[in-house]
Amino acid sequence: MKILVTGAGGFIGGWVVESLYLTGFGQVRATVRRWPSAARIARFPVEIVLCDILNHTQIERAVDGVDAVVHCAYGPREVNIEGTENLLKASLRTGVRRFVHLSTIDVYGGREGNVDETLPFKYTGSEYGDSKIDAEKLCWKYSGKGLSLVVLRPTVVYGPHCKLWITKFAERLQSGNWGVLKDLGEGLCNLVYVRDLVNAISLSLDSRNAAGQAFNINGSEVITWNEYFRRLNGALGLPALQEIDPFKSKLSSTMMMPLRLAARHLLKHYGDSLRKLSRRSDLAKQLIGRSEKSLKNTPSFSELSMFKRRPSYSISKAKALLGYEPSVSVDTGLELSIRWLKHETLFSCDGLG
Amino acid sequence: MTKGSREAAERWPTIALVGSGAIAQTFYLPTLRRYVPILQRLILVDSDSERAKKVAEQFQIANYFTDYRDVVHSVDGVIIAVPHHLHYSISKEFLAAGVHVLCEKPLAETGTEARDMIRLAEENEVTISVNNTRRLFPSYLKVKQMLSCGEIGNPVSITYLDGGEFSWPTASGFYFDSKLSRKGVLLDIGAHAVDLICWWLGGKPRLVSSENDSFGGCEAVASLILDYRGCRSEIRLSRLSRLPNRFRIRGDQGTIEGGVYDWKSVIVTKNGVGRKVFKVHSPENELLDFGRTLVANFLNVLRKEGKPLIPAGEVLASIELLEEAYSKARRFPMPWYEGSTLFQRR
Repeated sequence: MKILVTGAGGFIGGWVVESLYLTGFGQVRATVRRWPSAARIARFPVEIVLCDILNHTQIERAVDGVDAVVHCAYGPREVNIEGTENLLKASLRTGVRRFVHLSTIDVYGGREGNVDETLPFKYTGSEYGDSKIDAEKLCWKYSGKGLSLVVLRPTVVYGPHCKLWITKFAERLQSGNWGVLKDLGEGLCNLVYVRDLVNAISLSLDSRNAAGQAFNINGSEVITWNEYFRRLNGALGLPALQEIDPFKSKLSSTMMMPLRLAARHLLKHYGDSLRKLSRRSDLAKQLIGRSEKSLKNTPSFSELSMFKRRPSYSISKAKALLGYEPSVSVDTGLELSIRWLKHETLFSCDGLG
Repeated sequence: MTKGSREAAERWPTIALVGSGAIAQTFYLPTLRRYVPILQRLILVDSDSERAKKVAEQFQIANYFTDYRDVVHSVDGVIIAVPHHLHYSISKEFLAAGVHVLCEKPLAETGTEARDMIRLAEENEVTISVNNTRRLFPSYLKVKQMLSCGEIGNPVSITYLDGGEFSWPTASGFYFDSKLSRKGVLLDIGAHAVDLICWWLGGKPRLVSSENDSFGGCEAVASLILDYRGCRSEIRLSRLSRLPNRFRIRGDQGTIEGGVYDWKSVIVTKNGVGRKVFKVHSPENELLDFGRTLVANFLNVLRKEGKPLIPAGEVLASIELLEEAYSKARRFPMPWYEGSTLFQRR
């Protein structure tokens, strides 16, 4: 089976490529939007092609001769919608036998309680979540036209190479400015170890029962966010976490909001100039570094809102139809993640041993 | 043309720039553009005709070709700015034709290739130099001088950590094509790091161990341990994650340390004396400013008014060590990839 993996330069896409190669499941063609993001998957002797899914010519070349597509690429709204439709169209036309679309639990729009696949989409105004809903709708449209589709909606995917939930939070914990958020952190953290998700993808590639279905993909245990911070902190071998006053957390988030917006604007429009300035001036370098650190170590409003929500994503359907069974406990997943982090970034060293 | 202007024109050599990718566009061409007579005579070569045409138009270069063989006998000097695995094959044809060569780093993929390049240059009475830019960093030169005069006594250990997410705007993506070459970060950045250690220590260390994360492709993280007369050097390179990007040399009487990309200062701590920051004068504010120094030197070499700043022979030891490091490399233990039953056919 020849499998096209889009977004192979990313965390999940990279894992799919690596696992396909390591297990000899199939021949892989990995696509990246920009060459620099190929550094990780290039460690494996797999075919890597440049493919911007907004570019019709590149898509035609990428899907040529493949049996299945695992669509992990995402980006701004036009990439999620127009890009996904380009890929669906080309896959249908060339007779791709299975299209696995990586969606997200964000399509449920931040619902609380037990969340299963029968619940309808809910728009929230978030660019990511809303555009992933629209992308899924396109997938179902093409499923209706005959494309053999499986949609996976993973929860919080973590593991080695994960910058969002591992590297970033490890740095926050190491800074000493992060802690247990009392009531604000008692929401549910639905973690799924990346290898479990990749296993669900493999099941989706050749399961007959899966065609035309969407599945939540969650991990083996659900813990609170506070518990996640504690366990990650423990895996890092850092001193016990302090409790942070919820009022202070909210206040810091509020105070940091203007800085966060300004930083986002400056980086978007004047990123190069700022980098040059920091190279030329020690003072500028220090100021930029300090602001960056403060922003990184203060929870944003959207994070605070996420940390207190209590949804629980059911995987009964994935178990029944796909045969999916998460097998990696949070402790094992975190242990492997931290071993990776220490290996790759020399984390917690002073830099020179 | 008057006699004076003809003489002036004759003083300007004809140069070919082979390769019009990222290094050509960001390093060489902005510098060559400062020499109008050179740019007027410059020949740009790239096997990708579309890219050659586009870059030639962008930099107002009248002459461009898609095959370097067409210009081998028409130039005085050549700058080789092509993918690493082509450095040897292209350089040797120019050297054999009596053309001076300035080659991008790494000079070559193997010691045999590098030695052959040096031999060809000698036989044809031309020069071959290499852009190991970090040799030009004033701070690194300061380190060399301090070590030579025993500022920190005998060196005991060197640590060199250099890593960040790969961000070089490569045009062809050759860095990631294991069909072209399976050599990754060690050859790419190791060409600097290993060379600096050989240069600072004044000799070729012995390889103690070599580890990387290749699964048959181009490694993205690599570690080397070297030994030179009891001085243990540890090099860690990464294309995936930011490392501390610092070096530290411990001696029996003190320590020298600095930032890998800081060419303006080094910190010296001497036993019983304390810590001192040495600011080193450098007109270069950007890494690419070193292109001016290098190109100016190459022009002087072509006019027979100077010698190469970094002759190929000086980096030979590092190329040999890199070759050995590849041949003896072991994969890092990476338990997150082990014991997986992923994707097993049911």
